[in-house]
Amino acid sequence: MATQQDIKRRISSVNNTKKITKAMELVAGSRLRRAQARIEALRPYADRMQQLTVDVAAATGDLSDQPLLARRDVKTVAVVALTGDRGLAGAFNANVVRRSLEIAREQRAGGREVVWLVVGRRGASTLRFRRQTLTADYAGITDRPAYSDAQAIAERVADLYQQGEVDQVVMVYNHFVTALTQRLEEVELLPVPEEAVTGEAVTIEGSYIFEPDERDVLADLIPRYLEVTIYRALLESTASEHGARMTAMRNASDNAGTLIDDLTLKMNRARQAEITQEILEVVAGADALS
Amino acid sequence: MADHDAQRVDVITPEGPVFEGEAEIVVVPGSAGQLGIMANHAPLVSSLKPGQLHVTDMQGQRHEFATDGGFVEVRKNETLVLVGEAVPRDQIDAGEARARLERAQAQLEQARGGEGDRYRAEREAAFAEALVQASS
Repeated sequence: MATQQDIKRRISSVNNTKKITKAMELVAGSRLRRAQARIEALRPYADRMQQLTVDVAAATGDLSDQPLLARRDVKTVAVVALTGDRGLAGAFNANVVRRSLEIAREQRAGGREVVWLVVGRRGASTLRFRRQTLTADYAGITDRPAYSDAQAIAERVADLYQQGEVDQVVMVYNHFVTALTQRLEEVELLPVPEEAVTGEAVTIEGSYIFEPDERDVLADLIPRYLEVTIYRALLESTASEHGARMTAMRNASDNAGTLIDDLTLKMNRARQAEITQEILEVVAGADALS
Repeated sequence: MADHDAQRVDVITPEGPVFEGEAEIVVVPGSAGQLGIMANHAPLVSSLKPGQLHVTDMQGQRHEFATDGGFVEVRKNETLVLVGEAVPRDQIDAGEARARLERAQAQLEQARGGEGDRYRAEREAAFAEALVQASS
């Protein structure tokens, strides 16, 4: 049986772990709030950009020569998987990796090739371990994704698409619902869906002057849709990661608390047993003398 | 300067709006040259290159920003500026801006040698250049 000393040592070790998980929970909580605030802050930009794109597309009329809207036979699919750089966040990373691999399997079964672009060290290392070749991987951006990070990814996929190296791009990420739940989302990035450029255009009196001209302005606007979509997904993914970590760490702290209670009970029993033992010994000794 | 009409001006970035309100004139770095927009300007849509943007509000106060590329849309007395990044001039650290420009130029050198993304390096260099100019 474990002695009082042993149990005491375990209690203090569990206590230290609890302090760490508690601290991680608090850090994740404050980062979660920051990520949520940034999702809010993006909304006006995203909405106005979308409206502008719709207006310009309506003014242009002919969309057939926009390379990012062009649909063609799909021979190669690019999967963009958004994961985190670190673990200890429940099923956050595993869900994205699992779904991405499922998509890859389905596509390959349909005779199409799959290429990978991966955000986050976790996803990159798991997918490499599964012998997938990564066309691009991005690390160190998920804690606080910047708009320029989204631009880098957007330019890369647009480039692959325009060079004809891929014919379709899908993105898999965690959508933030609450700290307890994240919803796995799959969106088609390229070709740019029609809804992104069609919609209710705001009519103005007369017509716009375009500089340089409407076709070039539109060709400049359409990639912004990609950037905004990727940026929003990065922010959602970051919020989800912090939410998942916060929940995982809260559970860990709770478990540590239960464990400490159990151990304290055990320690008290051990102490009581020791005292009883000593009394028995004293009594037995006294009996022997009389 | 009450002799000018007011127009509504919004300068919005992915991080949120940096200017919202009535203004007398807004000057933006259009892709074909500087554009000064006052009230009752004809409807216009233009792409913007990285550069300097300034807004003069109705009190005659000038708000200056170094901006990344983007767009401007002018409707009747409503001017909307959408840019990837906008840093107020008084918040630019001159030393940091120069360091960023040097880094960007080094990247651009590499990109010209065929390594990395050239388009991205060019844009970063152009924005860093705008930051340096605004800070000097």
